[in-house]
Amino acid sequence: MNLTFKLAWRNIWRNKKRSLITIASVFIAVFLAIFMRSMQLGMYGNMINNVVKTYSGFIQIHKKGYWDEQTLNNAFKYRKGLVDSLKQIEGVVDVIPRLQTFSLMSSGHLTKGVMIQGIDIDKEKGLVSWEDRLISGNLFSNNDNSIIVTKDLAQYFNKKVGDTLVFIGQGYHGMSASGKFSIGGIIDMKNPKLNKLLVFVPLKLAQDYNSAENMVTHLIINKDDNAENDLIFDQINDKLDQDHYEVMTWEKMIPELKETIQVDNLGGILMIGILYMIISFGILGTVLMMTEERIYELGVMLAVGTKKIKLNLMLVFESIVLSLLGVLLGILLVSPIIYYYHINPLVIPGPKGQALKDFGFEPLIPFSTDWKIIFTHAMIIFTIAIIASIYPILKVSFLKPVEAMRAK
Amino acid sequence: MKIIKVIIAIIFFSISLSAQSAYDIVKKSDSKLRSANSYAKIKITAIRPSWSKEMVIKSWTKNSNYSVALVISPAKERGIVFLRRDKEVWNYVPAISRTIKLPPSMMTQGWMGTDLTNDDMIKQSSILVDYNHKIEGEEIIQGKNTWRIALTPKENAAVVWGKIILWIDKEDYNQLRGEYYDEDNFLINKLISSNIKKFDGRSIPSHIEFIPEDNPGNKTIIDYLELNFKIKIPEEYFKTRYMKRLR
Repeated sequence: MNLTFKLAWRNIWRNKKRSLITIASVFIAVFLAIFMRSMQLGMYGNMINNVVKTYSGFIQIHKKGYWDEQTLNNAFKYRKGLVDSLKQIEGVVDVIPRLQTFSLMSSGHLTKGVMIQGIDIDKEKGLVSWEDRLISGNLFSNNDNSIIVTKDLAQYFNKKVGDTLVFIGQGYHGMSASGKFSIGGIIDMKNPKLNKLLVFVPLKLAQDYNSAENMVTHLIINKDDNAENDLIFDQINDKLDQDHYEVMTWEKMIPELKETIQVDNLGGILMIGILYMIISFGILGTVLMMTEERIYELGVMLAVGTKKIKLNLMLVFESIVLSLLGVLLGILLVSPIIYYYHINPLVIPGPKGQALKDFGFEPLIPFSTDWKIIFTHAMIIFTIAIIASIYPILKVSFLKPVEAMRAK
Repeated sequence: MKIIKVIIAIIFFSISLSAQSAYDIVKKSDSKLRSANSYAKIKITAIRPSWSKEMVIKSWTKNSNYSVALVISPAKERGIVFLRRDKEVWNYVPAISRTIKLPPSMMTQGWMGTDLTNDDMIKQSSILVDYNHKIEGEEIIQGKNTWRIALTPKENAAVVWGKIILWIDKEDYNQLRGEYYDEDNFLINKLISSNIKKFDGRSIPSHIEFIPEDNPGNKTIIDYLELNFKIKIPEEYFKTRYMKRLR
């Protein structure tokens, strides 16, 4: 065994050029595959973050039936005990309450239906970068009596910070809701639809306005960037009474985004499939060439009495060492590049970037540093390299020493 | 010849008599609740499958085209006023100290979380003018003899219902039961009145249940707590600028 390995090791370094070619082909494969996937998945990650963090959050909890009938009468009591127990789940950073309802907003002769979002601003800051979105004025604090309106609404009503707007609608359980609040800030949600619709109100004030004391319509889960969404989802489901609550992930709430990503990802997978095919044939070609080149040498070894099994083992060792070197080298060289682009994302230039910006997406491609991408693709290529080494093994098995030595 | 004339006369007379009497019955029943002036204190309970809401309002009516309603409870809605002048409705909301004229689009919406619409409050008087009336039979409802009267809308009448059936008490001319059908003959609303009490010498049902058939589990109950027909109401009660001062 020891001898076999020693032989394999010496064989590798005996013909340095040959080994380098094999290592290089594996290295390029690993490098390209990881680079490609890291870029693609990183882009998706950024898209999800952009959408999810703007508004919906990764996971939402509602009263059962709320999603199908989004009315205030489907609100539920905010229980601190429940929130605390949810916070204990690993990866959950915070649980953010919201109270959402529709009302008429009016000023002078203008009236418009708007969505009122009662929020706990301190908690929301952990999810959404409010300061970046603010165009003018200030964010309210939780005990304030002022509101934040989206920019298109402010424009429609021709209102500035400090002006007053009147609200009228229906509150919880048929109570009538009415109030007048002054504008504390104007915000750009970076989303044309939301910009015409949303009014943010301190949670307490929204509950008061709707006669919905201590009620919320949403609990929003903010999670660690690296925490597995599905894992948290399952744990939340375990903790909650399924008869009273519904738990939804962003995939279910925004299926469009998920589908877009899926379709695009399919293209990416196809590309990487083609890449793998090219790589496989490349590696196979190298192995083929090298085996043929060593037929004489192998014949001699057989002739002097080396057992075929030992010869095969030697060849496998060689393959493993060469592939491993290629893979490790690939990972070693691609990692800093990925890391660099993770911190300094690629910028999508020109009109395409601007279009993305208008729709509320950052025109950036930060690379994903998920170790799973590196691991998966390194493993796949390593496996391909090992499979390619079946060829020399077969060759040796059918090798006749005399013919082999004559072959040259 | 004489006999034929008599028979024709009898037939004609009997037709006109029965048609006349159906109209008369409805008219008599309708005018029972109306008076030059009336004041009522009403408890309205909206019942929903999972919750209910109770409120008390005071209402003043004059000549059936002016009425004003003031919400007394719940405390949060206290002071809200609805004023109707003919076909127009104004709403005063103290929290924003503003008077709003309700747009036609809001007329079909539920009134303060009940099953009654703003439209229901206004269009009441038309059951006399806009419909043809016919006695369909006699039935016993709540132990009382009643006429069962079918109302079908006159041609070109702007009405909501395709058919209304009223059960009117023969003794007191109270509408003990009402069924409201749409143009496809589907039952939409049911009105059941009971618990007859004397108010100012008139016996009137004090408990009215309004049941929308298309929303199972929903119901609105109206209870008359006070009803007064001999009251003088100041003219200014029906002016928009008085709404915020109404007590």
